[in-house]
Amino acid sequence: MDTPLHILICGRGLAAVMTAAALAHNLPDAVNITLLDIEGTDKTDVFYGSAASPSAYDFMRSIGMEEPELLLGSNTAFSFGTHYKQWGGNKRGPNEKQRSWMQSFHLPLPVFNGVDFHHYLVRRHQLENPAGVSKSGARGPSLEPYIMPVQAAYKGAFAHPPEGRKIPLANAQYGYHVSPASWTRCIAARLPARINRLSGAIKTLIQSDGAIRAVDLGGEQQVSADLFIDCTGPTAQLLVPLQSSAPDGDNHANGSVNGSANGGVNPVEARTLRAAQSWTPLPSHTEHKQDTQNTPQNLRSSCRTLTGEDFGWTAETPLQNGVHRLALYHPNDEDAALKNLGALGALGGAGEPHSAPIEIKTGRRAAAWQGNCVAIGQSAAAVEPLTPAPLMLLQGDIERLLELIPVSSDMQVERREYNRRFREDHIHAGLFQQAFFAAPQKTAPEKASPEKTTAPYWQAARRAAADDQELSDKLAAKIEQFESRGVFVTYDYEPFSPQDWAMLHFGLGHYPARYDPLADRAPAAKINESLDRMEMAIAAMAEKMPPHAVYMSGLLRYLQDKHGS
Amino acid sequence: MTIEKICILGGGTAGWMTAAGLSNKFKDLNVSISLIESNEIGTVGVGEATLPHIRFFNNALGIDEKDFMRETRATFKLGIEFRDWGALGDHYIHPFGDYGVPMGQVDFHHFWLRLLQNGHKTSLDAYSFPVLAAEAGKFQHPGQNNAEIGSNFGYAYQFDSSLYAKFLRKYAQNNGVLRTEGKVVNASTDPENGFIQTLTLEDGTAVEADLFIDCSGFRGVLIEQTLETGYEDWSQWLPCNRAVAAACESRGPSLPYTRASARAAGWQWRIPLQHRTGNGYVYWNAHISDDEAASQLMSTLEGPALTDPKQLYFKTGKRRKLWHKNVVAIGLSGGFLEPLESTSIHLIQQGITALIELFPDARFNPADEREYNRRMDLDFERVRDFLLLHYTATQRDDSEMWRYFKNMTLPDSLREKIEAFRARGYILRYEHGVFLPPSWVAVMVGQNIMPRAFDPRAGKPALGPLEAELGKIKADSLRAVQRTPDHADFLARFSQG
Repeated sequence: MDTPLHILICGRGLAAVMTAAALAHNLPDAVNITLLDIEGTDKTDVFYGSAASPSAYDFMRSIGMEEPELLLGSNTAFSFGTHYKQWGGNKRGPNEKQRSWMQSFHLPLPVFNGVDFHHYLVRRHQLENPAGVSKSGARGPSLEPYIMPVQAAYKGAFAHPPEGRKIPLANAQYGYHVSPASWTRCIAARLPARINRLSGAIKTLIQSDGAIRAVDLGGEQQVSADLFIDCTGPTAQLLVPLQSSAPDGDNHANGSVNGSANGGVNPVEARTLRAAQSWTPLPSHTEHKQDTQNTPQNLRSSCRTLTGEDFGWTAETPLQNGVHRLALYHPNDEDAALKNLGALGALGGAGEPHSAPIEIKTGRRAAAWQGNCVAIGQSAAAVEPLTPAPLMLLQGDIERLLELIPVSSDMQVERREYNRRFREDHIHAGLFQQAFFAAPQKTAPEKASPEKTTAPYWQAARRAAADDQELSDKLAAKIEQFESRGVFVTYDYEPFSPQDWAMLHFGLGHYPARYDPLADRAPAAKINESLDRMEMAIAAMAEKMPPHAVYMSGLLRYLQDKHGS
Repeated sequence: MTIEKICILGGGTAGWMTAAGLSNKFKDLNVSISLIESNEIGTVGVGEATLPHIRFFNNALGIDEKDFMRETRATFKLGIEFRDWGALGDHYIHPFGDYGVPMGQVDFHHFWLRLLQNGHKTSLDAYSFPVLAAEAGKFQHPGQNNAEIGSNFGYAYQFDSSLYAKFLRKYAQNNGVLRTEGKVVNASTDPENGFIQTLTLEDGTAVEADLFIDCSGFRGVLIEQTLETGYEDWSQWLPCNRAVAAACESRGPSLPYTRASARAAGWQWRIPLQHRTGNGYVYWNAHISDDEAASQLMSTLEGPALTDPKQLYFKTGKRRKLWHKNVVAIGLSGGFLEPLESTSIHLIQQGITALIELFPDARFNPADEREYNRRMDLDFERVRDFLLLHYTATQRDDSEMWRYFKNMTLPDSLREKIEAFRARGYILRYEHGVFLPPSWVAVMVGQNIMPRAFDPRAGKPALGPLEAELGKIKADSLRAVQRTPDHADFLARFSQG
C-alpha cells in the first residue's frame, strides 16, 4: 500500500474494543484506525462466557492494561478454574455416569525419572486396587489432591502464585472471571486517543472486485478503508454480504464457502443454543473493610461452577460485585432451563432475570478473511462457553490478525495464512470442547434407541462432534492413546495444554488402562511417599491461603490507595 | 502382557543408538534386548554431522561429553556453511540459534528488514553470535544465561559415526544387550497376523522376539523384504540418488562447522573431525557418471586421501509405515533424506524417542502404530520440505539439475512458505518438527529470498532508538566473538582437561 493503511473496525462489543486496543498498541502511528460503534452488535457477547484462561493476563498487558487497572476498572475476579458438576448422566446418554471434577490452570506437572506424573498415580491405583475399582467405586485415580489450584478452589481460596519460590502455589496458574460487558467498558474507557471514533449503522456496503471499498452509514456518510474488521457478532454485517456477492471461485481456493444462505457458517458444528442469565448483585468488597469474619458471599468461591442438566448446563460465576448465573440450553428445553435459573437465583438472594434469552448458532465460517475483510470473534465463529475457549479463540483471532496486518492491497498471502491458522486453531480448541461429550471408549457400546433417552442438548452436541471428520479423528486418537496408556497425542499449537487435558481426561473418567512400564524403575514405596508428601503440602498450603473475598478486598484496598487519590 | 524380548537387526549407527537408548530406558526391567549384526555387511555411516538435539540423547544416556568426544574423535559444530547454493559464488551459514535478541512479539529479522529498507547495509549474520564465531573459527560452550549474547546458541558435533556406533555398543553391552554375530537367512511369520516370530541365522541359530527393530539399512530386511510394507518414493522432489564418500587428511585449522557446496549435479560435503576430514559428493546419476563424480570428489580433497572412494546408492523417500505389525524401522530402513542438513542421526533419534514413548505391550494396539507413524511421517515430510528449499531457492540454472528444480512444481506446504516469506518475511511455523523459524530465515535469506516488506509492527518503535539498539546487539556480538577462543585450541584443551 502506497498510502498509509486505514483500518476500520466495525462493532460495539468485546471483540471490537479488544481488536481496537490491540491494533492501536501494536501498529505504527502512521496507520489510521477507526472504530465504528454499531448499536446492537454486542447483544450475544454473553456467549464469550465468563471464564478467561491465564493467557488473558498476557493479552491484557499487551494492550497496555496491567492487572491493577483491570481489577479496579471492571468487575473481574480471580479464577483457579471451573468446577464441573453432574456432567453427563441421567437423560444425557446411556451408560454415562455423572462426573464432577475441578478443571484448573497449572504449569506442567512434575516428571519423576523421565516419566509423567500421572503414570505413577495409575500404578498406585492398580497396586492398591487389584480389581481395578477402589472402595469408593472409582475406576481410576484422582489427580485432584496433587494440583494446588484445585485444592485452593475447593476451599474458595486465592492468592497470587509467587514467582521463583519452592512452594506448591508457585506452579499454580490463574485466569479471570469476567463479564464481557464489564471488560468491554473497561477497555473502551482506555482506548488510545489515536483511534477515530464513529457511531452509526451500516446501510450498505460499497464493494468492487470482491473487496469492500466503504461502508455507507446513510445521510451521505461513507467511511472508506483499506482493511475492514468485522466485529459485528454472528450476523457478520460485513463478511456475509461480501461473501454472498463474491463471484464463484474467487478467494474460495481453501475449500471455503459457496455463498450459501447460512453465510458460510460451517454446518458441521452448527448447533442452536440459547442462554438466559440472572444476576445477584452484592455489596462490593471495598465496603467490607476490615470485615474478614463475614466475607461477602459473592466471592465465596475462586472458581466457576458449571452444573450439567438435562436441558444443558448452568454456570455460576463469582465476580467482584455479584454472582452471574447463566443457563445454557437447547431451545426445546427453555421452560426447564428458566425454572432452574429462577431456583438458583433464589438461593443467592435477589436473583432476577437479566434479560430475555439470547440465541446463537455455534459453528465456524469456512473462511474468516475474505477479500479485505477479516471477521474477528463471533462474526467468524461462535463457540459454546463451556470452557475458556471462546475468549481464548477471540484473543487468538486478534493475535493472528496482528501477525498478518497486510502489507499490500493484494492480501493474498495474509488471507490464506490467516484462514489456515483460523481453521486449525478452531479445530484444536474444538477437540477440547468436544471431549466433554465423548463417552469413555471402554464402556459398553450404546444400546439400541439411545435417541429416546437422550435430551436434545446432549444429542446435538454428540452429533456435532461426530460430524467433523478431522476433528473426530484427532479426538479419537487423543482419547484412545490416553485411555490405553496415558500418552498425550498433541498437534501443532493447541490452545489447551497437556495439563488441561490430563485434568479433563481424569475428570471425565478416561483412565489409562496401563501405565508407562518405565514407571516401574522407580520403587512404588518411594514414589508413593513423594506423592503423599506432595498431597499434604498442597493441603496445608490450601488451608493457609486466604479466602478469595478477603484476598480481593485487601488487594483492591491497596490498589485504590496506591492508584486512587 | 509386557514385551519381554526385543531384537534389533543391524549394528550400524541406527542399531547401536537404538540398543543404547532402549537398554538405558529398560534396564532394571524384565526386558531382554539382543542385537544381530554381521561383520560381512558393511555399515554406511555417512551421517557424521549432527544437530543440537543429539546432546539430549547423549545426556539421557548419562554420557560424559569429554569421553564421547575423545572416543568418537568429535569436533564442535555451530552450523552449516552453504556455498554456491543461492547463486554461484554465494555463501552463508545456517547457525543453531536465533538471530539478535527477543524483541517482544515480533521476530528479530523484521527489525533488521526495516533498517535494510532504510538504507542500512548490515547483514543479518552480524546479529548472530554462532555465525560470527563459526566464520572466525571459534568456539566455546554457551553460558548459563541463554538470553545473553554469546550464549544464545545451540551446538552439535561432527564425529566418526562408526566410532560412535562402537562407543554406544560398549554402552549397550554394559547394559546387558546381547550381541549376536551372524547373517539372517530367514524370517518366519505368524500365519494368522503376519507378525514376525523368529529370525534364523546362517549357522542355524534361531532368534525369537516380541518386537523387532529393523536397523538393517537400505534393504529393510524385515520391514520390506519380509513384511513388504512399501516405499514412498520422493525422488521427484529430491532426485539425488547416489553418493561417493572418502576421508582425507585435514588441512588448516579445525573449523566448528560443516560445509555443503553445491555442484552441477549435486553437492559436496566437508566434515572436519579431530583426526581427518570426511568428504562426500551426493549426486543425481542422470547428470553425472559414477566415475566422474568420484574423480571430482577426489580432485577437490584438501589433503591426501585416507580411504578409497566408497559408493552409496539410495532412493529418497520413506517406508509407507515406519512401524508395521511388530517391526519398527529405524534409520535407513525407515527412509532416506540426503544429509544436507545433518538430519540422518536426528531422524534415528526421533524414531527411538517415539518408540520409547509409544512402547507397545504384547497385544500391539494398532493405535500405537498409527500414532508412531503419524509422528514420523510429519518429521520426514517437514525435513523434506526444508531440504527442497535449498534446491529451489536459487538463481542457478547452469546445469540440467538446476534447471530441473527451476521447473518443479513444489509441494503446497513449501510453496506457501516461500511466498509468505517473500511477501512479508512471515514464517509459516509449526510446533512439531526439527527446523524452527530461525532455520527457515537463515536459508531463505542466505539464498536470496528477500522479503518485499516487513511485519508492520516492526515499524512501531522510533527509527533512531531502534538503530541504536541493533547497533548495540551487533557490537555486543562482535565483542563476544573476540572473547571466544579458537575452536582448535578449545578442542585441544577440552579433550585434555
